[in-house]
This record gives sequence, structure tokens and C-alpha cells, in this order.
Amino acid sequence: MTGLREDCKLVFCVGVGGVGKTTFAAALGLREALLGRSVLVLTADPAKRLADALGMYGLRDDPSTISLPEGAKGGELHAAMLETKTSADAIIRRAAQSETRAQRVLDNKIYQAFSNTLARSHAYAAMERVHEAIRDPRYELVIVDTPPAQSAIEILEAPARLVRFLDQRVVRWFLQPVDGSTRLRGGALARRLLTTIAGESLVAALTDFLGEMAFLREGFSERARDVRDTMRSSDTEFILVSSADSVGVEAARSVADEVVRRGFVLGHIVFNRAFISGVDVTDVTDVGDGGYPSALAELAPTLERMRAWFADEQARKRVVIEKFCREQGRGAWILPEATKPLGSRLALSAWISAGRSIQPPA
Amino acid sequence: MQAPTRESLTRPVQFFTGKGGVGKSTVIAAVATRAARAGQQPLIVELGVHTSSSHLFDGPTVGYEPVEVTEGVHATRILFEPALVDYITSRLKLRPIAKLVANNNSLRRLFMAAPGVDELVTLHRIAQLDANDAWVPILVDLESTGHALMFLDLPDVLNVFLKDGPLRQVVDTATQLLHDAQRCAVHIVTVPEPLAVRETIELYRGLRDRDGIHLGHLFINRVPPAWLDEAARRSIRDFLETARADDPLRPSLLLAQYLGVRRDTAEKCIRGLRHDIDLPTVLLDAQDDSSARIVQSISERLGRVGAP
Repeated sequence: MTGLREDCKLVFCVGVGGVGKTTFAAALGLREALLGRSVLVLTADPAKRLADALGMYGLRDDPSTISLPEGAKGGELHAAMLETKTSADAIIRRAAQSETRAQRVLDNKIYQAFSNTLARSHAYAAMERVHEAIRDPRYELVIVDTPPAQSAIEILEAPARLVRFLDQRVVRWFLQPVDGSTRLRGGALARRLLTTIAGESLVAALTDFLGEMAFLREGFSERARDVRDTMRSSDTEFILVSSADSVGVEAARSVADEVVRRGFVLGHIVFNRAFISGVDVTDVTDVGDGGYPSALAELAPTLERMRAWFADEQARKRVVIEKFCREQGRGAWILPEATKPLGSRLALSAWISAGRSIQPPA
Repeated sequence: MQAPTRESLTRPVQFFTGKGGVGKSTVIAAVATRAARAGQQPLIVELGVHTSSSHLFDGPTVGYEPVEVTEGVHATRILFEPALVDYITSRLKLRPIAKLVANNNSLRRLFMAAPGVDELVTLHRIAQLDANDAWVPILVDLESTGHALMFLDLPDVLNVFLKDGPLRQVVDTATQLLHDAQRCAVHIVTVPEPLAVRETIELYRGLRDRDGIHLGHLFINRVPPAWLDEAARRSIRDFLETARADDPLRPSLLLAQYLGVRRDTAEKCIRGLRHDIDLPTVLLDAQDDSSARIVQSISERLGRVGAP
């Protein structure tokens, strides 16, 4: 399998759930670290799979350093799991610049309710963490493992949405009581409408909340814009991970469309569980019932059925992969089905090393 | 969790959750097929950008308005913007005005950015479909575990500051529905693979410990076939021990051994799941890649699990 471009600094692994995105992100991080780079793998998935994949008992919001197997060429591997509330609290403390101001936000009920439960809060916190990580001189490469499809899209959208929302005018509408200016009268009307739609108490709470958060606006919006620009830069690569079956590829296609539609560049496509390492379909030849020795004669029909079943499965995978590559006009990496659990650095490294490249269609 | 009072696969609103990639959509499609054959009007509800039901049934693209994806089965996708307009319409009564509000630049930016808006308008839409009575059962395809928990927790989260007002009503309606053991069930779908097992058990415990959530079935999807018995596997092992390295049979036998290991792993996973998860379990065979056949065969299999 060929590697990442050397100038690649930020990787987003995207794809629907269950395709092995987290395992791939961990294995890619490990591989690049073994090649001598200093890597941070950041998982934004609320399920705790990255720790499992790296053979660790747990990961925290703070990056942990993962020891590398023998033979590493001076690289480093770090991994962290985004905990929305911890990340969000840290962001508030940093931006508030005063403990009382920070505490007022941290005590706000809307903040508490939203900071650790909702998809969008999660997306905003992830965005901040990416912003921080790509500026951290300790890391030459940051690999972001996004949560499954819909939420990954949220993360991709988060910067742009925040930039639009934090636009001064919009927030001010909800913060200021009616005064003489026309624009603010428009704001009062919007507020009345919002009260009808959402109810008095929520609008009041929201206004309070936005008031408390006002200090965040400047920096937040700037950082959101930074992240969005970084995501579109040529140092950033989106890697789409998919399973090698027709249902999975349908889902992968819609993720690819979403990525491209947002102006991001799709770098590589990875098909996971595309083959079985050590059992090559071309070697498993049709020997026919007569080709079996007497000790296995009784099993011959079953063995023949298994062989045919396997050949079919492999052929279907190949068709699906080739069709998708043709459609997308690019090659792919294919990775084997893991025949052993991948919960160790050695197993993980062996697994990704068994991957192969598929040339782009002519 | 309270004891289920009605066979969970017959309740009018059913949520399906589980780790991604385990075939939730396929199981839902099969449950819907079976309901349609029994003369019901099933509606598959998908959340978010992607639709699986169009592909699974080889039917028309599924959008916000329910469409028939195969005979007797309808599907809808809850998209943020039309769901928002639906919610605002329910408050302002006039759809054209609701559209104006939803498109107002400043309000729009607020709706697009504020946390919770997605989840609220989604809950509102589900309640609206449920109130409509045209659809039974409603089968909701929840996203993978972490977000399913977030979603089911939403009413509790919002309780903290939604003391009154129209959104309070949305939350109350949704809570009533989620907590009604006669009307609602949450099913878990998984596959017999080591990585999935742990996550599924965690998901089960998380759901079980949440007050008022009524769990239904555990579906274990893609159980690989048991090709060979112990004696057969012993003969293969014996043969391989003495066979030459270039024996033309070797690859086939290595494959047979590997498929045996795959089955062993699956059986071990199923034992683990059954040990830790106290729910009626449905085992579904590993299928080939034709979605129509998968749905057909799962729905036949479901026909035999004791639900009407």
C-alpha cells in the first residue's frame, strides 16, 4: 500500500458507521509514526473504539502517548478521545480570560444541557480541538476519526455554520432590547416570532446564554473560519472508508458526495475487509469432487460449496470496488479482513501493511 | 426497565439502534416487508443525509414526503429544513408564513447553529407522523450507538430549561411516546463480531438503565454458516499436517479452516451477547449481497419468531 503524501498535515477519515474507520485511523497513525512522523490521532466518535484499536484501556480528552514497537524511526504517536464537555469547558476557560466570567457560563443551564449531549455541540468542540491540534508544533500530522455519517457531516458543517451565526448582527438582534434603530426593530420582530415558535422561557434563557457567551464571539468565529480554510487547503486530505459490499458502497457514495459538495478534496478511498490475507481466491482452484483423496472424499461436496461460496463473495467484492473506483475516477487502498483481533500495535501494524493499492481505472 | 407488556415487534412505533454497519436498515426493511404482508401500513423513517431504503428496495429516492419504496412499504427521510418548516407551521398555522420565518436570514442562522434544533424538529416530525394514524408501524432507523443515546436522552436534557411553552409540548409528547410500553420499543441490532459485542453490551446497559425506555428484541445479524462439524474439521487438520506444501488442495482447506474460525468466533460472540443481554434474540443468517434477497430471507426468518 502506498502512503500518504509527505506534505499532508491533516487527515479526516470519513464514512458511515461500522466500516472500520476508527481502526483504520489508528492503523494509519501508527504506520505514519513508524515512518518517523509525529502523529496525533483524534477520535471524535462518542463510542470508545480508538482505545480498543490501539490496545489501550481507555483514552482521555488529553492526548496520551502511545509507545511504538521496536524499529520505529523516531516517530511519535499520540491519541486522544474528544470528550465534548471537557473540551467545551476548556474552550470557555481559555476564551473567558477571567475565572468569574468562565464560571458564569459553566453554571448556565443551557450551556450545561447542551455541552455534553447534542450532536452540534459535539461538532463545535471537535472543530476547536482540530484547530488547536493543527497549530500544536508537537504534531506533524493530525488524523481525525469522525463519527458516523450524519454527525461527520455536522462536523464538516460546523465551522461554516458558526461563522454565519456569529456574524455580529445576528447575535446582537437577540441581545439588545428594542431601541430606536431600524435594524434592532427588525430584531424585536424576530424575537417576537421566535417567542411564538419556541416559547418565552426558552427565548429568555437563550438571550441570557448568548449574553454570557458574548466574549466568545470574536475568537470563535475567527477560529471557525481558520478551520474551514484548513479543511479546504491542499495539506488536508479526506479519506473515505467503506465496506466492500453494494449496500456499504451506496452509503459511501453519499458521504463522498457530501464531502465534495462542501468543497473538500477527497484524497483516498479505502475498502475494508476486501479480501482475506493468506487465502488468495486465485489459488483456491476448482479441483472437482474427484480431486479429493479418500480421507476427505466425504467432505468433498461441502468443501466445493465453501469454495464456490468464497469465490462468489470475492468476485462480488471485486465488482463493487471496481465499479466505485471507475465512478470516482480514482484508485483505492484495499485492506484485508482481520483474521485475528486487532487490539495490539503489532497486529494493527501487520494489518495495514497487508493492504494493497488498486490502480485508478484506465 | 419495566417488563414489556406487549410483544415488542407489534408496537406502533419502533426504534432500531446499534453500531453502524451491522445491517440496521436491512433488518428494518425486513420488519417493514413483513408488516406490509400482514396488511399493515409500515413507514420506515430515516434520519439524515443518507437513504438506505431506496437502495434496499431498489425503489424511488426517499425524501421528506413518504414514498412507496416497494409494495405496501413507505419510507421517509427527516430532513432538517422541511422538518423545521413543519414545526414552525404547527405554531404559526400558516405554511407560507412559516416558510418566510424559516427563510428569514437571521432566524435561519440561529436555527442552523443552535444545538438541539435538529433533535427537536426530528422529535416533532416523528410525533406528527405517529399522530397521523396512517402509518403503523413506524420504524425509526436511529444512528449508531453514541448518537442514539444522545437522541433518547434529549427529552431529559431539555426538561432542565424548557419549563413551559410550545417546545415543552414537543418534548412532553415525545417523552410520552418513548415511555409508553404499549406503543413504543427500542430494538438493538448487532453482528457476532468481537468489536461489535462490547459496544452492543455497553449500549444495552446504557438503554436498560435509562428510566422509561422499553427494550424490544436483540437482532444478531450476519451469523456465518456452520459448514463443518468437529469431525470434519479434524480430518482437514490431519490432512494439512501431512500434505505437501504445494498440494493443490491446500488453499481450499486453509479456506475451510478459516471459515471454521469465523464461525467459532461468531458462536463465541453470540454466547457472550446472550449471557449479558437479557432480551429475546433473533439470529439472522449471513446473506449474500443481493439486497432484495437479504430482505426477503430476513423477513421469512422473522415470520418464524413467534410474532404474529
